[in-house]
Amino acid sequence: MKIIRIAEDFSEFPGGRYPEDGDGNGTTFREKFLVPAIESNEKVTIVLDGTRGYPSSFLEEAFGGLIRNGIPAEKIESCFSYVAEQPGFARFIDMISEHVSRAVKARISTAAKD
Amino acid sequence: MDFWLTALATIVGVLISGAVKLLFDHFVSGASLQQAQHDDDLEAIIRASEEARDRAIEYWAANDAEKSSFPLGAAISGRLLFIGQVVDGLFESDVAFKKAVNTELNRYDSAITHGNFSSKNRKAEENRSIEIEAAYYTLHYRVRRCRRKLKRFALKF
Repeated sequence: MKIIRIAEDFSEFPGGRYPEDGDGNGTTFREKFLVPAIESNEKVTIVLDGTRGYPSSFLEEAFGGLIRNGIPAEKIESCFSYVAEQPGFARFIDMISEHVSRAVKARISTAAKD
Repeated sequence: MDFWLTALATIVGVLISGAVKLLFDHFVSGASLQQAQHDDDLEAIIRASEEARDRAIEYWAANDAEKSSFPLGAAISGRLLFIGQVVDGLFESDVAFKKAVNTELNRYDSAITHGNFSSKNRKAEENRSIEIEAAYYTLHYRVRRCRRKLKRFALKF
């Protein structure tokens, strides 16, 4: 099983949505780590500990962005598991699920309007 | 014989009452200390969430281009992380309370950091303050309510 340690492999300071927002942005994290993991069909454990927190905008862009790019929520659920052992970090797992659910709802709502 | 029986009974009585007093002091003072720690944690959560609210309202009141908001953003992120750490410690003994408070904390965090938080060329969103205030007071209420309901005596050996 592959492990992504965000603080070590990506950035200790995740934040922002787009590449122009800085090295720790959500788009780069998604494209560099999440999309390749999904394409490889590997089970991946994402270790959330060790960073200086996760702004909602970063999590939304990284994980909600997967849904906007056409990846089904079930695929995201089956591919990724999370580790958050540091005090105050477990809640970020719920935030990720929330962003995926919201992105699914937004997608359904947009499709219904079209 | 009567003398020795009386003396023995006295010694046993003194030992038992001493042991009872030690146990009583241990649990009562331990419980008082625990209550004081819980109150300190509650106070820390309230204070940090209030500071985060004030800074968040200031953050969303101006465009990023007008004034770099990096220091404000960092101050907000640091406080949100700190609140989560204290919440996990305070409600360590009660999973349901921890979940309830963390759910409100996530709503509060999202009210502050969703959208273009930490993005360059972020536009001001003055209406965001309404969302932040509402989430702040809901968190405030939830954390106080759960703190009140925490068991008074959680014995630890």
